[in-house]
Amino acid sequence: MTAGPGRRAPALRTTRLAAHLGTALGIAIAICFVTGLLSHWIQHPPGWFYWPTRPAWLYQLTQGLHVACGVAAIPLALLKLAIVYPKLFARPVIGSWRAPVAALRRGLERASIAVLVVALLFQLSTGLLNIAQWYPWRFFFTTAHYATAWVTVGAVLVHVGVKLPDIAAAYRRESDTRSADPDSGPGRRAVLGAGLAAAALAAVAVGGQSAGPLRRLAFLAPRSGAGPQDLPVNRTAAAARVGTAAASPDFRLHLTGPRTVDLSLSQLRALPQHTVRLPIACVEGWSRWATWTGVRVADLASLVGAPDGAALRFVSIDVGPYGVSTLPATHVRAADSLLALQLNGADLDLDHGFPCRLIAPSRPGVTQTKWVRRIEVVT
Amino acid sequence: MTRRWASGIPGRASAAGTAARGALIGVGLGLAGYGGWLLLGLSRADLISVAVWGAAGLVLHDGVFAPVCLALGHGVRRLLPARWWTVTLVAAVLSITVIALAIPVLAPRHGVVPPGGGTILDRPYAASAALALLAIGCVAVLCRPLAGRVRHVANRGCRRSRHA
Repeated sequence: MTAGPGRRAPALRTTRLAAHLGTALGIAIAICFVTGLLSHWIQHPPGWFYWPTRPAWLYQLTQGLHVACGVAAIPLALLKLAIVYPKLFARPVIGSWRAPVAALRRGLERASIAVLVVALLFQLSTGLLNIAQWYPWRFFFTTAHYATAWVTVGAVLVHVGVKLPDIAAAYRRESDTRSADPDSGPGRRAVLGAGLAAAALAAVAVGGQSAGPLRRLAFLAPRSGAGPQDLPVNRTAAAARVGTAAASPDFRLHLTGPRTVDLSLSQLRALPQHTVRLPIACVEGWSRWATWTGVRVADLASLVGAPDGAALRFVSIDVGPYGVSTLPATHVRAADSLLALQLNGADLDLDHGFPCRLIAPSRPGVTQTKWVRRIEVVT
Repeated sequence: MTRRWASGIPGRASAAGTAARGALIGVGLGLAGYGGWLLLGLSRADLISVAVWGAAGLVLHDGVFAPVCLALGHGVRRLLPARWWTVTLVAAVLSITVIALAIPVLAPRHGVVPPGGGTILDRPYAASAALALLAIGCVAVLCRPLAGRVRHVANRGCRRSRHA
């Protein structure tokens, strides 16, 4: 209260507020990166990667967090950028040749921040549009989103490294805190509170779609959770152009391995049936639990003499990009991994993969292959 | 305009701090480089599309969104009494969040049908977003006297404001 008015910063422009908002944003980005990496590895597993079958909702949790933290990061990022925006016009812009080292440092720092801002806005905007299945671009979303994730996290680390003394001072309360002018506008706590409240609002308004009863509050989520047989559809039979072949009475499921077996739908129905409760947990963040009835994948594996520890490849009638998935050995052995014939007490809807589809615990929905026509033992 | 609070705090550089900074920057450059290398694996046309989106995001944010927000902020400071500033800022942050999240589910798509059929975009988004904005506005108006009282007690009177 004693410093002269000319020396005080509005709380909105203090380093301390920037550091605190940056921490919240950094946590959201870190969760997005880790959960995104897990989702990528589940779909493209490196040799060393292991993903458990228990708990069955594990992928629902990680991918729900991915989308919830991603949307929560949107207000945090916009507010953080708004707070430091005047620095974009700080003088000197880069520097002069009289002090080349300082100019080089400033130039590199500005370049690193430009990379960070571009990469972060790219990740948040493409991710938000992807969950609404809106693709107003040419690139393949997952490839670009995955590559840019590394750029974003790298740029965040560089930024934290550059700003570490400021951040440390902000947390030691040695920076400009005491000189923040209480009459120059909203206080630090109010701004930080606004950011966190907006992040929470975003997480519920969109992320609620992956959290059971919370989905009723998810008023901006791309999916209400409704659909045929009380389950949303990500790719309809019409979009996949499989209707005729899937509904044909001549349908045969081909099992290939050490032995080869062909099964008609009635032969599949004659095999021992099991009923499980499992979620469809989509990479787009929504989740919905359902009751599935069908043949254990492990039973089908032993039918063709698959060796212990063999993975299975599921091939769909759908020849699109997600028409083939590989089920790792741990999931093949799981008692609740089914080739489902029924959903919530009735035959599968054509849009849910009639006549048979894969349903396994703790897996991305995109790998729960629908309209399965062939199962191959992978050796 | 440049102030001390925009720069580092000198005289605190310890060896451990310097090593931590070096490690963070080194690892960060490595990860970003890996991402850049992955991006270079895209086809030329895809890469151009990524670059256009990246550049568009930066231009739209730094050139349109941020200056508009700044101008609105200054407008609020000139037009509204100081006791309204905090509540206006909180309401604005929440409203911008609602609008940003509503764009992908509300914007017209020009005939492009999502492959999810009728089970996607199946909520009354326009009505819910409008209701949310209305609720934010009402809560802001109702909360203002409370916030103002707390502020008044804390500051023991209202001094003249200074524009940043």
